[in-house]
Amino acid sequence: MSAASEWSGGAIEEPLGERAKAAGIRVGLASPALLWVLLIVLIPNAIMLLYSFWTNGLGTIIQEFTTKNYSQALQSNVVRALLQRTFLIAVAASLIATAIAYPLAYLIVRRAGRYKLPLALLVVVPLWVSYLMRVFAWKIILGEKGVLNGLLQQAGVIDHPIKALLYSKVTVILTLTYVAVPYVFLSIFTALERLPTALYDAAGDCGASEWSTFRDIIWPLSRPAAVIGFAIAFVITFGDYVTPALVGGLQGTMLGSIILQEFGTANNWPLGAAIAMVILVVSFVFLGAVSLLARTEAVID
Amino acid sequence: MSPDVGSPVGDLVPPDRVSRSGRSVVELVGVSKVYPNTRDAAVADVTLTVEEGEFFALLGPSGSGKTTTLRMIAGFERPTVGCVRLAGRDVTKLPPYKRDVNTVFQNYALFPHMRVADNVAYPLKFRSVGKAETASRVSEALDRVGMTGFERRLPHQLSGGQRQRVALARALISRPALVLLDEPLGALDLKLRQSMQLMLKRLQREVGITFVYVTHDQGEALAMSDRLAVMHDGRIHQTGAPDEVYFRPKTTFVASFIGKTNLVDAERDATGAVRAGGLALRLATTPAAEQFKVSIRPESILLAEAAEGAANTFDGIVRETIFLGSERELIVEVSGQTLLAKAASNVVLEAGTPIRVGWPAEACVVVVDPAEQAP
Amino acid sequence: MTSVASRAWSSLFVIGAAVVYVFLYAPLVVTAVFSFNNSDIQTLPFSGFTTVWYEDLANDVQMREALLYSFKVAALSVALAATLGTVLALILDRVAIRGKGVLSAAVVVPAVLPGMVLALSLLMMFRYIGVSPGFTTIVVGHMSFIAPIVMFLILSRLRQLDPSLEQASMDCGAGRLRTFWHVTLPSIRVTVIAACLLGFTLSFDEITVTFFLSGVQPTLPVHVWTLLRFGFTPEVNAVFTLIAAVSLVLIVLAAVLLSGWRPHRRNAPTSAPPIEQPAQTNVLALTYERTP
Repeated sequence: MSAASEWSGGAIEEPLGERAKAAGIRVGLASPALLWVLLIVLIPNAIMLLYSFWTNGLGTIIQEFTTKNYSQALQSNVVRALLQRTFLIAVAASLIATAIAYPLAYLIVRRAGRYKLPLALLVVVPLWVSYLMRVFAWKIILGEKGVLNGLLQQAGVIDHPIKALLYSKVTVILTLTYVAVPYVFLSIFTALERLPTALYDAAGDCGASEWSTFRDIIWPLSRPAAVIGFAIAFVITFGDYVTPALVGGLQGTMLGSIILQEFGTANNWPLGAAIAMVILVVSFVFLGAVSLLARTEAVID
Repeated sequence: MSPDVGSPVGDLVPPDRVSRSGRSVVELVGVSKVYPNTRDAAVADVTLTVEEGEFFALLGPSGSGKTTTLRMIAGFERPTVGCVRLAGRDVTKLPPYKRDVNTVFQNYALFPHMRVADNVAYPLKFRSVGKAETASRVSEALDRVGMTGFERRLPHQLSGGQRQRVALARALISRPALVLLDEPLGALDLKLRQSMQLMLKRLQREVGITFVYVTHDQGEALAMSDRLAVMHDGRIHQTGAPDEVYFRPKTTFVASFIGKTNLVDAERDATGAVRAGGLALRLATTPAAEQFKVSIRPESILLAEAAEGAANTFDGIVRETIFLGSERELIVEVSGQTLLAKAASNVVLEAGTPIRVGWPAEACVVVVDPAEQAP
Repeated sequence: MTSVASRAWSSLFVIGAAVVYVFLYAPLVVTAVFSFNNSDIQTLPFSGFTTVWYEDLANDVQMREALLYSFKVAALSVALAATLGTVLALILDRVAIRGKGVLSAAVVVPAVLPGMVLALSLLMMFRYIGVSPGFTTIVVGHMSFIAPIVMFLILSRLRQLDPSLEQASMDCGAGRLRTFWHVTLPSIRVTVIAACLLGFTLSFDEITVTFFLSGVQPTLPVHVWTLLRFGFTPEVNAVFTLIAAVSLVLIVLAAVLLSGWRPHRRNAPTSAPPIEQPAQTNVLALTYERTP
């Protein structure tokens, strides 16, 4: 806060009345931010919370407090199974994405030399291609008449196209992993890139081999970034409904699809709101737990 | 302060050096380093020997190749050609972790997530040292650098000077044959730097470990080292004891980089007489080259009555005087040449005052450019 | 480790990295290639080269309307987000109020919430106050996650600025407003433009939020999604390929702007010390913010 104090009135001793006035001006200046938080964050989420405690009565919303939606959602086998599946799919996709992105980032930072930046950019460029396209492309590749089956048939590996490639849990995990890799990579790459190369030298100098250097120095220092990357991936994949809708089929339905249904054809907003709240709470609790892993005492300057 | 420095003018007898056994710890033989996609070598054909127990400085401006040289000794860089020997063994291709060398890095490179004690103990992890011995060696090393009591601190909770001491303790703990220091005091302010210089010098004498010390600060190199090598453009221009390098520079670069000096263009005719512009110079020995420069240190220029009877005496005019507190610098014009001389600070001389200047024949040092020196 | 073993490990890593790149690019290449394939069915072998899908695209009225609609949405939401984002950044950088840590965390919530949750919360608020889904709701939805991103980029720029510049300006007698106009704004201008380009691509490609907030008229991604869910024509590959190409151009432009490149200006010192942060940080920071 250096340039900052210009607007802040300064810390010089002022009479009490003056100080209160200055504080008033500051709140006034900050009012757009307060308004933003109120209108875009607090009120919508409060209303969503309200909805989740109301009920649906033939196309109209009955505005009476009830926990029926939650008990209905949490007792429903479908919702519970889907919650479990969605959670597992999101964790699996995020873990695999982290397992792919970490070694790749390490390799690029340590070995790519002057090609470091171009190679890193190549990993994140797919983020700039339409999200739908990235998901849908897998349908072209994995479909019954898709590219992979075509290739395999042409190569004579198989006689008949494999149907099971598309519309399964595995397909959803694969596609979500694909979507998540660049985000996780970005988080890890920037962290590894920030580590001074002298740390590698210093560890080698102390007698540590490349593996020991990684285990004792580099991993402890980059673990928070890996955890953050994993968390970003989890948030993205946990609430996704586009991917399961396109490549999931029945096997790959996720919780997002149900919400879509409640707000669409079923037209049961309160139940949808309750499920959305469940998603929100589960992701917050999970991220809270995960963030414990990201704690570190190290300060890198 | 090293006792070597401050020898009177003209005293070129090398003083006794402590603990030089004559066994070489580091030998570089014809080492060059060329980085990919660069034209000039970062280090070109460097040959040097550092002996056991020495405090050896690599001195040069930035980009002179001194740090690259150090990194090749440590094993972070591999020479393009040439050979690196440690204690007589060829280690050119060994990775750093297989060399009995430890380094104090320019920005300390302490591991940010490890406490001071763990940082210092880290090298012992790879040397099968027991727990009890590790603990006692850590406290001994911290004691040596005056950091007892800081064991539980994290690096970011320390000041620059404290981090420097911890880095030093980490480099010393495995009792290596050689410690490399890469501009270790570069990031510290002047006051702290001076006290750290004293500590380093004292520590090096106590532990008796060979130090190779990279610096761009000529005062630091002169004050601390037993011997030094002056580098420029990837080459070693001169290796020797501080006073030798100061009073007997071999190249124009060494003469001008270390301390202040007067460099005058000179030539020798067939009779052996040396002329620098309008000045006829008397030298102690007749130079081999026909064209060369002569370096005359300002402090060897004598003034007024003191100049009488010197081998070289001329009439000059004071052009400017600069008061420096402990002394006064004079700019004197002598037959078209401008010379820098020194006087006591209580001497008051107005600009335009005629003055007699002179210096002994030994004060004229013939220096050459490396291009002429190269075969 | 012997050198043979370590070399084996190294080559294993390199092969692994190559496989990852193939994994990342195969889907994109496949889509682009099939947008030129002369067949209704997306399979190998290729039936031949055609540009018929692009011609179809050009003649598709619905697609054109969706495209135009997406442009309008993007233009308005980015304009609003840029203004708001700048204001938010200035507040967070310069106004000293209590609870600022909480405030700065709360401000970015819309950009870090799962898209679906943001969409639903806004949808229910709009329903509660009686605004039916349509242009307004989409624009508000887009603005809510783009403004924090703009704010983030401008904030990091503001924090690099040399405070002495503004002090010098006031020292020269300029008031706060004039200082802002002549000193602060020009120094964040490039960042604002880059953030707009970024925001534009985000808005243009957004589906999660848009789907819930759109009324009868779909944006381009929503329209395409509907097509994909109820049958498919290779025209979709063509539109994907086009959008990808345009996005990439915009992003390269934004990255170049953020990395401190300036066109030569008259009287501008050419050797001015770079005050921007290193290019890579910015280029990568751009992508940080992109959540589907």
